[in-house]
Amino acid sequence: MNVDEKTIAAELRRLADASRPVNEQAMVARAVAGARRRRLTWSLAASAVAVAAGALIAVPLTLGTTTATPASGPAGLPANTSAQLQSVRDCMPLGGPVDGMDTRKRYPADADVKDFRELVVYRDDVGSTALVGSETGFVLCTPQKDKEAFPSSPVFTPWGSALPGDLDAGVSGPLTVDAYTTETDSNAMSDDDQSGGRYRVVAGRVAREVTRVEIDWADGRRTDAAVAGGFFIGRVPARVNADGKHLDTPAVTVTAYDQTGEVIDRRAEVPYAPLGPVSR
Amino acid sequence: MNNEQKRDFADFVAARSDSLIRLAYVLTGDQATAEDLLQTALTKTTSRWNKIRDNPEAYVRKVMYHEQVSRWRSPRWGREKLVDSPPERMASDRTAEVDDHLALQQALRALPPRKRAVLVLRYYEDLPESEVATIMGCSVGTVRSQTHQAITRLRELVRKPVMLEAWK
Repeated sequence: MNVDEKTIAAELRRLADASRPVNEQAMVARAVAGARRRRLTWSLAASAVAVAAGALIAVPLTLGTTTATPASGPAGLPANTSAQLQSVRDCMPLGGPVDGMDTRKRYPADADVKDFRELVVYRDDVGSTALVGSETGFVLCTPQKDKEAFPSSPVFTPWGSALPGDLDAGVSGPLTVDAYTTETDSNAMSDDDQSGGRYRVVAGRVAREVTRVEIDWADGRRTDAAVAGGFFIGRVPARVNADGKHLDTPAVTVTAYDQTGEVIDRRAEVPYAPLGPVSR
Repeated sequence: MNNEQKRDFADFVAARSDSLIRLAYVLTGDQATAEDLLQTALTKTTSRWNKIRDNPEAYVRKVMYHEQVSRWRSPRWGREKLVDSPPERMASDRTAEVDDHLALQQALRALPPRKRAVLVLRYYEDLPESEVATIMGCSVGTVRSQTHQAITRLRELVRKPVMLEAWK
């Protein structure tokens, strides 16, 4: 082929067309804050949470990374609408997240309900579960039909599972699985439901280029998660093991796709783990 | 920056970010690196906003060129790198099947950053050699020779499989 000024110029313009718009507000914020690269950690707005000696509670682990690309966490938190604000307040009747060991106590003490945003909600025929987060961590919120019998327990988990947590913590690629746990949805309880209204829930963070997240629940079921603003969440009704006593919670595989349908990241064999910080 | 300057800066980024990310992408070849490059340039711009606010875009573009070329000069960057597999481009027995555009685009991606930057300045930005020399901090003669070498290398890359020079 002929390689000259004209063909080079045309090809460079074609190459430029492959670029995607940036999150200009995030870029401005980072530039003003002095960040030189997208992947730099956002400065924490909150003061560091005191880390006291404590037992390991749980940590959601991710195994089997198939892609390693430069990545950063979500650009920031969206504002709550008035309806979302009400949902978040309903989720945190004590005014903030609670301790996984004692759900009558707020933890962290300085985490306030006003710092939390409803990031993404997965809705099905029965009800919904939302990922609700702040700059430092998140809780899961599942509205109940009987709040007295099934009070909400918004257990705080720092982003990255380690205190103090920030939106970039634990991010090593376009897909970060922050939670694989179970939630109770009293709307699903029925006489023939052996699981007690339990749902397996997977949630986390994704890069901007991720437009679809698929969860393989390792029991023949696959679902597309709800994805919004750099976060995702999905759930399925839990099933009971053959022993009839315990929930079946095999390791799941989570796959992220871009808008062309290409797989851009995958986390395989993500083990089930209760929520909470790694240490205090 | 005071609040007024921050507003001006935000307005500038809002108005010009599409154009700037296109340039960053042409220089780097992938979205993530392009965003890093643009972020670095914007951050440097904030510290000099008072001095360059009359024409901030020229400054941002200049910073991006210098950042990209200096990144290439860094010891951490190999000027030529072995790649796991050849970029997806024509093989000699499939020449007729492969789009010319794809071949040239792959060749552009395979050029070292400095050579690519010269071509971007000359043919994407459409700048005269004297201005390219000013931006790159070299003589007009160097611009000419770099341009010539870049085009020669492009022609070679289009003709034969790319094995040793990689995008980054």
